[in-house]
Amino acid sequence: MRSHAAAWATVTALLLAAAPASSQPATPAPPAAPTAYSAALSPSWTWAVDANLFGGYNYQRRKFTDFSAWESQNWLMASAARTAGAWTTTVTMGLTLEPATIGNIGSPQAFQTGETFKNAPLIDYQHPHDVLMVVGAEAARAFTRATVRVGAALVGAPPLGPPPFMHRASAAENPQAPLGHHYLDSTHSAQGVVRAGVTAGAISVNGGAFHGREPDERRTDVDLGRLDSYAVQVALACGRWSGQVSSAWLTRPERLSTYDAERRTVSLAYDWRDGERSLAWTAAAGQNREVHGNLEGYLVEATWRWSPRYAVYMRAEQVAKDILDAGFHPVGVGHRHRQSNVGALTTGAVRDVVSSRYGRFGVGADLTVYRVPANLREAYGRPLSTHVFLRLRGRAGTPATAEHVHRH
Amino acid sequence: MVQSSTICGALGLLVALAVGCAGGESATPTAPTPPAATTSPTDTPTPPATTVVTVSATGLSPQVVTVPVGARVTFTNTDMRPHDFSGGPDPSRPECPEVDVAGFVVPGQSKQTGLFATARTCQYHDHAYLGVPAFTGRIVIE
Repeated sequence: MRSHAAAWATVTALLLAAAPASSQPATPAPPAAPTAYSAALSPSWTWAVDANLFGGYNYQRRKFTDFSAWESQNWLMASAARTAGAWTTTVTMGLTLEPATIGNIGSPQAFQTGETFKNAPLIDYQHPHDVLMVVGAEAARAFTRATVRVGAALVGAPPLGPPPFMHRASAAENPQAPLGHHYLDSTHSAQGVVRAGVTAGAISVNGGAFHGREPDERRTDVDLGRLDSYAVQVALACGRWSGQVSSAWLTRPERLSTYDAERRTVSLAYDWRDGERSLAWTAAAGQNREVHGNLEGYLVEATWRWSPRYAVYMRAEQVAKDILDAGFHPVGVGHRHRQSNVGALTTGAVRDVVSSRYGRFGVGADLTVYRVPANLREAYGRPLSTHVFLRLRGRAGTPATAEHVHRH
Repeated sequence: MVQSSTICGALGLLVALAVGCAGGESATPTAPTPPAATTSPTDTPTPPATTVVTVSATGLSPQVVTVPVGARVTFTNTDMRPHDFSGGPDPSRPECPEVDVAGFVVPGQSKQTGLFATARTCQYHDHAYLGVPAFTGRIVIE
């Protein structure tokens, strides 16, 4: 573990060193990196800090036992960028306090799956994220017809799937993770990533190698390992539209499975902004190809801020879950899992109470109803989920830094 | 939830009474059926007492139960998470399909196994906690 950590620290440090101490911008500044939070390009360092915090009451009505929790989903992202010569280097770090504000068992959420608690599969809980969500650096250089990027991260995202749900404009007001999180964007905090890409016009082609094992239950460490998994992605960014198609070969991604898997994703997003008003939506599909069967998830979500104070959001999902057969499978036990096609529809609203140049403070609520498949009806009945929450979104940085949302 | 269960139970009782009063499948009046021959209390087989295995976050309690032939075992989940009971010591050695009848048990739920018709010892495991000794058990049928 230590040797892996040292290797990753070295790679990241080399990328940081790509920005000399003093430089003259000899060439035009390259286009911004794919993540819009990278600060404005200039010869000197620029920086940006964004934070988002939900805090509230989560109530899950179920057939036999209702679940509820007071909890907080939160993250803080800081990035700094510097243009030196032909290269622009962006360093990013992201933190969350979810292990303390949600707890290791996670946030109650009917039909949610993914990761483990006490060496057993998490079912009906959304796992908390590791404290270190992102630690990485990326360097970009613009050529006449294309921009080349290389990056490495101790914790970060390989080029796979849509932007992670907590950074999507279409899900900015929604405190709840999608049921399809582990079919689309769960590798956003892969523990060890190298990636490279080329952007020409509206099209980007990206590739990366990463450690494919999902994080363990210790949320305060970094679970580095071999770069044993690979992803390729073709992404589109054209005005308000963005999209991507990606595929990954994952080596033993689940801690309770001894088998490899593949993941295929496709997504399309639209992001319109006009001052304080905005409309963003994302449609995505993901497929996990496992020895136990192919599991597919489909998602459509949107957030519409029609005035400076009010926003509404929705998410509709259809996800095939293998809840009935989840668990540890030793080598040789590769039986097909029974699948349960769960449907979920969330609708919610947020009203901003205080808004300043440093951020927004609002109150919100949502309701989720489910379509329960026949093979889970006896156990789940007709569940409902509700959240009532306060939301704080803050921002600071050098002028012209952008709001923290990711694009494909 | 308690109220709805009570209402459903009351409605179920009313329906059962109504069906019983309706005389089963026959829609036409029939002659009264002579009462069945009565049996003495000593001839009536006593249903075996229900054996309950409770599963909590720390494991199964008790892990070994003994039941008579013809009995069932009830699994009650007092944990915060679902449990999934399967016959056999692990998935590669399935046996005792009666345990599979209970299968997936969510928090707060109680489910019965199938009827154990032959004398033997059934090993079973919790599929979600495979390899964890506290979540494996035995049912001795004698």
